Amino acid sequence: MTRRDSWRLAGAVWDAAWRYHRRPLAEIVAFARQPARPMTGAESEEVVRLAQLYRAAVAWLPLPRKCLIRSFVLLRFLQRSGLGADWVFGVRTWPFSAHCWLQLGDMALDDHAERLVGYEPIFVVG
Amino acid sequence: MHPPFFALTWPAETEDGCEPPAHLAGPLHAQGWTLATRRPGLALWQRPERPLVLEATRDLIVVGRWFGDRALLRDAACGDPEPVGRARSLCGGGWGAYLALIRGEGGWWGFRDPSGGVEALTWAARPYGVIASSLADLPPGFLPHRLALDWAVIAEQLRQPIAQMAQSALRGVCPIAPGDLQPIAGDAATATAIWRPRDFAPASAEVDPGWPERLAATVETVVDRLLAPYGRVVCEASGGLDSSVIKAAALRTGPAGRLAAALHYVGDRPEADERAWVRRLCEPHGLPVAFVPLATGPIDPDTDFAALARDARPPYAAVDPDRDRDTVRVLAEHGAQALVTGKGGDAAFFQMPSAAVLADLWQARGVAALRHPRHAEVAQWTRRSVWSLWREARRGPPSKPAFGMLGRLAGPSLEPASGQAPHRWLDGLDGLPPGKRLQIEALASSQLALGQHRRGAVADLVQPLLSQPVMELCLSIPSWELVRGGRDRGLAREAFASWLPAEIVHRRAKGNLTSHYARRTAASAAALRAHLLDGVLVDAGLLDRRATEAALRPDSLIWRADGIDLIGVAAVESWVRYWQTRAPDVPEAARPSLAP
Repeated sequence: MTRRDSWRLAGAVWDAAWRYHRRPLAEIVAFARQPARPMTGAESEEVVRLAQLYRAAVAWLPLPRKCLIRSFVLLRFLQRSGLGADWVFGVRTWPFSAHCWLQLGDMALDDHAERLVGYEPIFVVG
Repeated sequence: MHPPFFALTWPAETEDGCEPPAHLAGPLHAQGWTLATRRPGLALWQRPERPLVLEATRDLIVVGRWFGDRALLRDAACGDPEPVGRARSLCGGGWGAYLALIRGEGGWWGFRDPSGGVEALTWAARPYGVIASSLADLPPGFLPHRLALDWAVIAEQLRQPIAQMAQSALRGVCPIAPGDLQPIAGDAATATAIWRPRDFAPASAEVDPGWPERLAATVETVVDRLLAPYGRVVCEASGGLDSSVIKAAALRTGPAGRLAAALHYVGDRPEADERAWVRRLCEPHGLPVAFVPLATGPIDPDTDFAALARDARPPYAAVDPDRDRDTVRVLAEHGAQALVTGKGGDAAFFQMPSAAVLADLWQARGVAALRHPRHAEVAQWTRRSVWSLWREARRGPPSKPAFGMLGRLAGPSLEPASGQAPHRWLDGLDGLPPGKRLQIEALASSQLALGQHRRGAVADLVQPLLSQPVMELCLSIPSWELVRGGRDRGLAREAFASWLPAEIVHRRAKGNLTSHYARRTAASAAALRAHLLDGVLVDAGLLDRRATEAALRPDSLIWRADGIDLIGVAAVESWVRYWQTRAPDVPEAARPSLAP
């Protein structure tokens, strides 16, 4: 992780402190929503690299295990790096469960595809 | 399940007291039992359609299969001729799926091997002692003379189903726990612990680079020895790691054609569909796969559980009766004598995501543990931060709910759990690190699969990952090494990597049947309501009527994952209904009165 990556990740955690905690979902989503734009091949590779960095770093971040905040911080990390991804919200029943994750095309960035097949996407921010 | 048996003991003053009492032998023969063998003071019967595998000397009968140095079976070979010495010699010098009947000065004793491969229930029918695999199919008068229903044990089994392995709610019948030696007709208080999982916990934090190789070699040997007697075997194939390891071991070791088919249950939701994994495993070997859709229709407790409720324990191992019947059908179609499964792999190989492995690491390594990469790896695995794991590792896991599995369904007469260990393997674990305690609890829980079921009546159930050598080896490996790389069963993945396709070895998630069982419960809600709401458990105040009614509403079931627990409670209800008309209540543990 470069020094610039570290600062951007710290900024994303800062965003979580000021733009996530005690905010309604609509406000969180509005803050994270950025106009979608097509991504070049090199940018897609950079997204994957940053997602891998995040996966290693998130263990040491003082974040709860909730998918909402973990995806929010990764999304803000990508956005602060001039990139982005689709923030997908899904639900399932029997038993009811709601989940969210980031996706680049059909690739899940912060979860395993096998875990996600049971969820029906109902909302995408991106 | 092992073939049924029934043994009678009586005081034999002389060496020629081998003849079983004629007035008892007659009714047994009339019921279809045939004499398998006899010794002074003991006679053993079997069912002719499923003959027993026996090895016998004058003072020892091994029912089932024991693998070890044959010389140890000779009466004179054991330095200590008393039952404790002989049981230790058998257990330390070999392994298998067996029950050893051992003659001592005071009479005959039973030693059940640590895998629990042969069921053993013992009781007194004065002046005789009995040890048998089941209470079913016995002539009138052969059950304990003072059989009684113990409601304190029923309550404990509702809170913690694992308790049924240690104690029957039928006072007068005593199950022998795996690893225990017990005098025939004696109760659990008279048992001697010969084998306990705690004895194999690692003594040091040293890492042995040979563990993966030893694990692969042990599983290969165990599968080879356990399956050797069978000409045709069906293998359960879920598409997950454990059953894949067993299937691969069976293909590596046995003669071609011994593995007749793989059996795979197909869920109807995308997350439960694992057919692609199973095809990937079986097609290269030309192994036919029986794909059986999981039944989605209603369960009828009256017909589905009643027939299995006549034994010493509720039929927990048959809570999916259609799956049980379908397995019987597939076994018959393939002419299989055994069903081999990967049951127990989650416990032996360590699949439990928990901060306890870090607590084990700290206890073993002290401050030096803080540099260990497992902290971040376990955090990734459990999707938690290292800080929250440290907090839990320091404080210990959250305390267990007072009403255990029954939780919100607890009725007014159900007392909170006493804190007493519900299984004999869980006694005396205080000195062990939390990760090892968790592993031992999981191994003990795996024994619930040993109970009554239909598939066990037509074929032997072989569970190599619960065998003594596999348990001993996995218990001797520190928990944080079992989850190498922050992966559940990490060391096992390393050990079996060369046996399996890479996709299976590196699979992150496993097909999930939670949804199937939640919907199955909803489909069965009408029958479960009729069975439970006016049932004996509600009447006794152990089950809360209003909470049960609410839990069975579809709009509740669609939210919750514990639907299968309601089916388990229905199995207990069926069991109590059967026995309450055949046995009175124990006076000091009678049916609790309803709270006002």
